[in-house]
Amino acid sequence: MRREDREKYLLFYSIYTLIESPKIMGDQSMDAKIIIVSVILLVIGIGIGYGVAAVSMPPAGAETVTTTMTETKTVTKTVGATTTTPEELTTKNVYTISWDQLVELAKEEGEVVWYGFGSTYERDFFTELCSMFEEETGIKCTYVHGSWFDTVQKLISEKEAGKEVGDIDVVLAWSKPFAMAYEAGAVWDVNLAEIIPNAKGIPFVARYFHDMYPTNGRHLPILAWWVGFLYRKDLLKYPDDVPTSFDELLDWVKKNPGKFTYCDPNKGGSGHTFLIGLAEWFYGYDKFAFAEFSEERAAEIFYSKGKYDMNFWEYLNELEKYMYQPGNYPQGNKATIELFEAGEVVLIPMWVSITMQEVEAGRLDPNWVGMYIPEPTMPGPFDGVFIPFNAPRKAAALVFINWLLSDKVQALIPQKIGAYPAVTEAWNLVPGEVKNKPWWPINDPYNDLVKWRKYGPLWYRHADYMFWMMEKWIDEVARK
Amino acid sequence: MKITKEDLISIIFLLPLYIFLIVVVFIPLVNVVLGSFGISLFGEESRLTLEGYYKFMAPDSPYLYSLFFTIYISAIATVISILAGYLFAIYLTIKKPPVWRRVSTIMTIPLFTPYIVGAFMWWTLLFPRGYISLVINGLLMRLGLIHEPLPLVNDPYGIGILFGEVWIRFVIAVSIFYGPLQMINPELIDAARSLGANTWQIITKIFIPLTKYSIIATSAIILLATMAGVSIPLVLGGSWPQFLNVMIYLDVTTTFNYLMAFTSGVFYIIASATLGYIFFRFTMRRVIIQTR
Repeated sequence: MRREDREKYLLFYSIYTLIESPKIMGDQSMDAKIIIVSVILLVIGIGIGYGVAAVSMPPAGAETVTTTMTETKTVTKTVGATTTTPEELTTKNVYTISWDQLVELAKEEGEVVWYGFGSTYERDFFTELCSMFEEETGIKCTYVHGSWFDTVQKLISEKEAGKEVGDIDVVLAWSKPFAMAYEAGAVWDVNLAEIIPNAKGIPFVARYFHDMYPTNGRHLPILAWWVGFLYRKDLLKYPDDVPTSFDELLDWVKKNPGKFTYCDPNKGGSGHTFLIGLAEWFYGYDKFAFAEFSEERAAEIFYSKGKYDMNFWEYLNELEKYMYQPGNYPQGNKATIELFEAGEVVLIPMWVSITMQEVEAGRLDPNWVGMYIPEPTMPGPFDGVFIPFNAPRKAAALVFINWLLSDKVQALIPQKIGAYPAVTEAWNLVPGEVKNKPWWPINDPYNDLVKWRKYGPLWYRHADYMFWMMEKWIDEVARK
Repeated sequence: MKITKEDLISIIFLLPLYIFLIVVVFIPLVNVVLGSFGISLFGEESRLTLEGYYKFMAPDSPYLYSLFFTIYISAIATVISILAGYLFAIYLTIKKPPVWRRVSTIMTIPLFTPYIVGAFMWWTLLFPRGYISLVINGLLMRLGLIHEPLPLVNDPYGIGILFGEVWIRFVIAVSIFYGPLQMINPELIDAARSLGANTWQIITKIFIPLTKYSIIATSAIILLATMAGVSIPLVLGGSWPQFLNVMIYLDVTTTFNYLMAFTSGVFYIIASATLGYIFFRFTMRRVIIQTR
């Protein structure tokens, strides 16, 4: 017999033996085999069934707190929770996973990378926050300070390129770049305001709108920068010597020519925030509040007569005649406050945070610093964070954002960078000596953040109308 | 056409350069031109339109005025830099001051200073309480020429931009002119002097004719560089008028108006390419011949 034939014979003989073995050994072993196989199949079936149930049922004992516009709270308890932590967070299971499981997943992920922007003060503070987070949670935190524009462009490019796993977990952004990223699909499409427990401390509107742009909870504010009127406290007394409201501004500027200025709105946020606040006063907040934007409507509003029987541009051109170096606008927030520091002007709209930073840096005499918010009020941005669509560590990102919104961290924000906390009640934890610093507004109700946020007035900027106005400002004011 | 082995070797050696030029120069240029017509190369929504060009060329368009302002201020900065640089180079050639060897390094500081740093430096000197502003305005007020301080930075006349640009370009002009002036045969100067020529005649009859192509070439280089820079006009310029590249910067980063940014870019490229063509076509060859 040839070798290959012999191998075939042995193979066939083995199979024959296996098939015929029950007959050779007797019925008893066949019964035993059937029983064993049946038990095995039963156990496997139970296991599969349990697994399917585990994936499809929500976790037991989980609470969902839903807050409506009228601030009534609805608590929905879900039952049948799972004790199995999913391996990956998705847009579906993120709503059903318990917070403890999320933290567990975050720890497994082990790292969070946060991209932000701002001055050197913000950079140092955010870096410090990262170190604190790492120390407390054991999750490595990396802060990258750069430009919001570059970060958002990167995410949009990654979305277009189909890059499913990126390297950024959390992005600090204001309304316009968030809107760009959101519309490009570069934002993780989950309602952070629903998922993150500490988000409930943020004012409701700010949780779902940023500069009146609907964020649907995909962008969560962590702080609020605000613009007030910075005035020379040593030369002017509040309220007698300053325009306490926008109504008084033009008269005041006429009586004090060359003593007021504001920065080019295209070069600094204090400029365009001041102007949109002025516009909201000039035409009424209701004209802008959460209204749809169209160029036609914007033109209709801004070219219509408001106060003093002037349109908005005529008002600004009238104001300009009595401003510091009429026709010359400081090119940025810093340039504006430097004029104030040099004593060239005595009243400017300025960010509270920049004022604080200039005093802390020794460039601005604190005895000169007086801050107030003119009536009816000044709108302001609640800036915050979002999670990119391709964030590699989404659980860690959620845990990090929740930590940023903790009272303890929120109370650091006014101390370190001169911004307001997004979580209102955290203001109560801010030390008295910080609240008494001269860069915080002195007038009621702005001297008490909790009272201000609860009872108002709390106005927001309308980003679309603001950007339209900024573009038109060049033609209608700067060129004239 | 038959490609020889030598041709193939040349192509292979030059291929990395061609790829580099295509990726870094050609594709971005094509992207800018197509973008000005609303066509996106990279997956964004495209919509063929001439709206950008209508808006750019419209009468009273801020973009067209910005282009004129850019060329105007750049031309003035170029003239000042060339004049000052050329005269200073001549002074160094004729007088050969012994102290020059020691101070020449200090004079090259602007060449190594990042433009943005130089711009902020000038801002602190020119803003109303800056040293230069105090001196100039003090002098002018004392002479009765003005009654209140002139804004020297962020002003509508581009004065701040001129200070910043001339500070850098002057050094470039001196560096470029010094070489050709040194190469002029000193015996020509001696001969002219022996024939009774004064310094002014030597400059006008010898130096300028023998270095005229250097002057033209340097003018083109400085004009192009001044037009292209964004740091100085962004920091030292005013709200209006603005350099066109500042408008592009604001269109991209503030209003996200890419159509106008691309359209302005096309006009910039046309202006720069025209000047570049003039430089290479009419002067380069003559500069080389002259220096030989």
